Amino acid sequence: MNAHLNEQQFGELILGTRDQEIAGHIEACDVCRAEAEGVRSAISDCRGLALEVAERDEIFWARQRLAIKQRLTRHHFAPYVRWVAMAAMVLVVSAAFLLTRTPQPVQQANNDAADDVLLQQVQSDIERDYPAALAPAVLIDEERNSALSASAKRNSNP
Amino acid sequence: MEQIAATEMADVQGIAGRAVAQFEDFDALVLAEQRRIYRVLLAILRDPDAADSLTQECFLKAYEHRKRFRGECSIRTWLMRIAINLARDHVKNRRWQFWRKLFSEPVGSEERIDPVDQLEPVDPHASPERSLLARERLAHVSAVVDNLPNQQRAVFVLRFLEEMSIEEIAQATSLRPGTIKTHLFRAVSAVRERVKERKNP
Repeated sequence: MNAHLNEQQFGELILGTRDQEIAGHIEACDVCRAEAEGVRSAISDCRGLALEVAERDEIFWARQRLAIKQRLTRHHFAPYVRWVAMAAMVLVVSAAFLLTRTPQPVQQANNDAADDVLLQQVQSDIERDYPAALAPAVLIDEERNSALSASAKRNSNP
Repeated sequence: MEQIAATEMADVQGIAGRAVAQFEDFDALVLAEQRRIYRVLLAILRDPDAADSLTQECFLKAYEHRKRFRGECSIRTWLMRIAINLARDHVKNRRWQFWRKLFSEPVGSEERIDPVDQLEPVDPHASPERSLLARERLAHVSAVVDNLPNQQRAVFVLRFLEEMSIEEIAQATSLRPGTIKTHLFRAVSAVRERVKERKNP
C-alpha cells in the first residue's frame, strides 16, 4: 500500500481493526501514524472533557433519584386518580341531569291541566246560547218572564 | 422436536424472568445507571437542565414499559435506547422552539453552554500560557463534536465516550451496523480534518 489511508481505512484503524494491510501500512507510514495518534489523542481529550463536564456532586444525584421516585409515585397513582375523577364526574353529571330533568314532567302535567281547563272553558263558552257577559241580563229576563206568567195565572183564576 | 421447543420456551421464560428481576430493585438500577444516562444526554444535547430532565424521563419510561423488556439486549443498552429516543425527540422540539423564539425574542438570546467554560483549570499549578493552550485544545476538540450532525454525534458519543460496541450501538439506536460504521467513519474524518487544521492552520 503506497498511498495514505483513505477515510474508511482510517476509520477502521481508529475503531480498532485487525486488518493486516492497514496495520502494516501504519507500521511503515509515519504520516498516517502521526495522524492516527493525533486523532486518538483528540478523541481521548473529548472523552475526558465529556466525563469531567458531566461530573456532579452526590447531592445532585440524590436529588435526581428523589425526583424520579416522586414522579414514579405520582405516575403509579395517576390511573386511580383518573378513575376516581371520572366516576365523580359521572356522578355529578347524573345528579345534575336528575335534578334538572325530574321536576319537568310535573310542570308539564300542570301546564297540560291548565290547557285542558282553558279549552273546556272555551268549549263551554262556544256552546252557550248567549255570551257569558250577558248572563245577569238573562237572569233578570227569566225572573221577569216567571213574574209575568205568575200574574197571568192569577188573572185567569180570580 | 417438542423437547427443543420446550427448551426454547424455558430459555425465553428464563430471560424474561431475569428481566423482571432486574426491575424489582428499581432504585438500585437508577443508582447504577443514572450517571451514564445523564453523561450521554449531556454530551448529545449540551444542555444540563434538559439532560437532567430527560434522565428522569428515561427511568420513568423504562419503568412504565418494563413489561416490554424481553431481555434481547442488556438493560443498560435498553435504557440507552430510551435515552437516545428522548434526546432525538427533544432536538426535534427544540427546532420548533427555535422558530418560536425567533419571532418573539432577539436572535442569539438562546442559552447555550460551552463545556470548556464549565471546567476548572486543567492544572491549577500550570502557568497561564499553558492553561490557555490546554483550554484552546479542549475548545477545539469540543467544537469537533459540536459540529457533527445529531445522529453522527450520538453514535460518536456512544462509541468513543461510552466505549460501546457496534452491536450495542445498533441495539440502542435501531440503526444497522453498516450505517453506524459510516457515521463513525465520517465523524473520525471530521476529527482528522480538525487535527490537521490545528497542526497546519
